[in-house]
Amino acid sequence: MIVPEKAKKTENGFQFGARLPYYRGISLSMVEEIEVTLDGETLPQSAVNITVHGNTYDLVQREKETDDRWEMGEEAILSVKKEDGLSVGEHKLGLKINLRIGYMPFPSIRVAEKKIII
Amino acid sequence: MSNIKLATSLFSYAYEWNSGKYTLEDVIAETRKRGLGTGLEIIGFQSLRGFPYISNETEKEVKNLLDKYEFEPVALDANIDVGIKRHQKMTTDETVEYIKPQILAAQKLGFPILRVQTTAPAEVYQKLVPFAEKANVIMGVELHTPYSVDHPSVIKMLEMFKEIDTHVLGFVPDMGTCMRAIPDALLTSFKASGVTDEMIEATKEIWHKDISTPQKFGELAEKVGVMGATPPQIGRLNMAFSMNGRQPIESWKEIMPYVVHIHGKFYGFDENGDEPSIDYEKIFKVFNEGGYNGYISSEYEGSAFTDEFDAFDMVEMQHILFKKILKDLT
Repeated sequence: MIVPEKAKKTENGFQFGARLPYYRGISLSMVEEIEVTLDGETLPQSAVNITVHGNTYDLVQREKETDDRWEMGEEAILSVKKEDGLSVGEHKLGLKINLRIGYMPFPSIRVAEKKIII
Repeated sequence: MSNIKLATSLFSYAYEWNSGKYTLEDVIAETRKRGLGTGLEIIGFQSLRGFPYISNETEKEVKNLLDKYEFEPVALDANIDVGIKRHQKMTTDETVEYIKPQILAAQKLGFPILRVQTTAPAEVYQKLVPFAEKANVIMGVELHTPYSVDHPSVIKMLEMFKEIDTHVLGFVPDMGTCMRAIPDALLTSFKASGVTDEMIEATKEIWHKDISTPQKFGELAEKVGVMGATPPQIGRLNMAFSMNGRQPIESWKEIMPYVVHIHGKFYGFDENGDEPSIDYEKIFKVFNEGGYNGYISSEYEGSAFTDEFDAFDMVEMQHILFKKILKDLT
């Protein structure tokens, strides 16, 4: 679900591409958690913004968005705020996505880990 | 002679589709090339961007593909996301409004059946009857485990069906409701979280017992707890009870006149090409005797647990099994 080729440094942190680990597209309100770890450090969820087809949402906006969807197979951009920035070279990136499935009693949780090069 | 027809649900290709390597045409073309039935089932939120709103362009694309690859549109799958808001479930009226555009999508694309879900109660579907009649789209309520024919919501739904004189209400039984074993693919996936063979054996044993699911949860926690299972591991093992139903296959007879479509769920095959966790020979026999003459769609679920197999190969193996069963059916 991590698209490492899209990883790069940004003005206030870094960003990378991600695909939804599920069989269909879902509204953003159902993305319960996006947890990013960098070189073993878990970053706060409020530091992660998501951009789908040009629309960017922070954590609060994402939880309320019941119309706009992260579509199946769509590459979303996850931008992460990180004050001390990111050094040039190789980093270990971890991603956990927890989906609240509107019709299931238990959530769908997927984790992935990839190396990114800045 | 049986009149049951074969279809493929594009749900089966979730892994391939999500990889971004296939277009809608690619998956439909491959399904035709391998001869995987005469009918096609599509999941709206999986295959159609912008769903449930269908542009004229999408309408044209889907109809052209069905035509080009000679597939009959069998069912379009809706999702009834009653938990779409974080802290509040959808009300009855909100759920009705959530389903309406999905009914119109089925109408526009020419699918006679919209697969709907038991997350919406009988009341919601009752309210939608006039709307669905006007669109001439059948609402097929999927009976997915734990919603077997003896589930209180299903009993209520059936009572409502019997009271209303309409052709737009029906059931779509999912064969994961009437299994004969827990699939190996699921059990193997548990091992990744540190579950031992001993714990798996205990889980299998309890699954076969004629006790309620909550009772099974209790017995499992006790048994594997002694073996050293952690709470997250017990949680994983509980999935084996929630996901794999043990309803007797014969019980489908109780709702037979209302069956409009069937989901042929499967996880894998043994060396003889049989599905060890689902007894399809018996399933075909029961539906055939019940006079069912609609479609059964292949629904490969194994990719949720392993990416070891190619989904096209898996669906092909199921069609080989189905064709053999149909041939022997008298």
